[in-house]
Amino acid sequence: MNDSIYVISVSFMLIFLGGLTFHRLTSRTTPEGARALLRPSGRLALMGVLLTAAYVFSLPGVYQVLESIVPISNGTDFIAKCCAMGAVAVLGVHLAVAYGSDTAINWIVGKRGALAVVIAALGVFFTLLAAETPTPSPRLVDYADQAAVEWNEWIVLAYTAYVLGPLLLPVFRDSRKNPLQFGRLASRLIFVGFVLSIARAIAYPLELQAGGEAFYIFELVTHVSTACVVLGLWAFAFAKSRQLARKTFDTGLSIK
Amino acid sequence: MAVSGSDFKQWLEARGITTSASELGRLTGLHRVTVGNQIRRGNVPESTVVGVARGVGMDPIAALADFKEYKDLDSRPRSPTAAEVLSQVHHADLMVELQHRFHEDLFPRNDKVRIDFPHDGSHRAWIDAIDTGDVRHDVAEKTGTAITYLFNQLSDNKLTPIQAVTAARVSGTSMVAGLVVVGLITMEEGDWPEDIRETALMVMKNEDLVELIQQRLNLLQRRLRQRKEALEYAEKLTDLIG
Repeated sequence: MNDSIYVISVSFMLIFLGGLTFHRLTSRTTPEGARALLRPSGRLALMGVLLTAAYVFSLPGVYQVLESIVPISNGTDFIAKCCAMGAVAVLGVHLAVAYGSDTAINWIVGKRGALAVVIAALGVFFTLLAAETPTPSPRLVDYADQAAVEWNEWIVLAYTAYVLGPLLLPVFRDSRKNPLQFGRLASRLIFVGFVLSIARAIAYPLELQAGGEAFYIFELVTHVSTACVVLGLWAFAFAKSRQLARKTFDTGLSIK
Repeated sequence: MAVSGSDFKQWLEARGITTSASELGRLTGLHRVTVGNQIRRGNVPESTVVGVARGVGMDPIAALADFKEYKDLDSRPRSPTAAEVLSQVHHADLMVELQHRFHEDLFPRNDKVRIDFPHDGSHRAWIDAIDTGDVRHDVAEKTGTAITYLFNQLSDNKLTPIQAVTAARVSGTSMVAGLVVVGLITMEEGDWPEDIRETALMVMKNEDLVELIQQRLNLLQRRLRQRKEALEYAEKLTDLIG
């Protein structure tokens, strides 16, 4: 039952994320395709690619294939987690710059941000090495009762909370004051997604107490939070492509 | 705010009007389900009361005065003040009149005021016309509306009938005029002569006309600035994030 929930939600996320990322990379406004990744507006596409990759690598079939290539046991999980953290870092930089929040920029962009992601990646790597994981297991689910695996999982959640935390206030402010109704809705979706992600990191001790069976339910929270953030970002992209701001705040004098 | 469902039912019975939702729908032009929902939820908009009154050939003002919220509705003369009437003239029409006064051959006077009300900013202009001091705060307090929400309503031309009547009540002006201004009842139903706006405009003194235009242009300037700022903010953010 839990496996089915996981497969359904991961498949949904893959279709959702993959579809939007593919659309962004191939849309008429970005005809240069993958080169879009190099531009500031391509950061979202990069985030989509990394996040989709993280989900793809966690699929049991793909995981097994990759495991035969990587030099360490369950190294694929490390790669998937690095992709996910990379996506979070790119999202953090993108939103910190967009919302113009000094606090968020100080924590997420530049040396401090880079140091945080390196520390998190090293933490994930060393906890993987410390754990006893002889056979392939996506998300290390079969070894969830080991302390090193618990730390491994928590580091990813904590890094996500580290990036999203400073963005909470600017996103919340925009969800209240954005003059465009659609913009307020988009920011609200992003805010809900961030709150869910941070809540999961804070509630991690509860997750441990709940046991392995509850893992998939908590994982579902992450999927919902990702979906909310991606939908919010899509809403901003939609508002941009349809020029909703210009249509809503027409400064013309005609009253016809 | 609207009248309660039970009051509405009692009123229908007292006036010998059917309480059947489909019949009320026919009278008001609303769908029977809509009318049924309004009664069931206990929140019947004033427009439904007025619609029913019109449907049975009753004076809408007398109909509204049967409800406790509007019982003093017709207790003052119905006719509006000149300032109230002029508040319902769009600044484009005011400027046409000004041009005419500069050169009547080059700019002949219009027989009729061209732009109907409510027009953009007409609710705010009416509140300004009847304001004797702190009418906005009084209305917010008496109707239980947050003052910032009331400001937004005025900006969006969305003053409700009860707010308009309350504003008139505290300002000592015609309450019926308030309902005409928010568009709940017609000029004819409010006893406004058909050419009341043209007459008020024609007899207006030059200095008053110029002052009124200046006020309106100041408001227009502020509104345009606000729109420009909103546009810049929203566009910048959608460009950066989207």
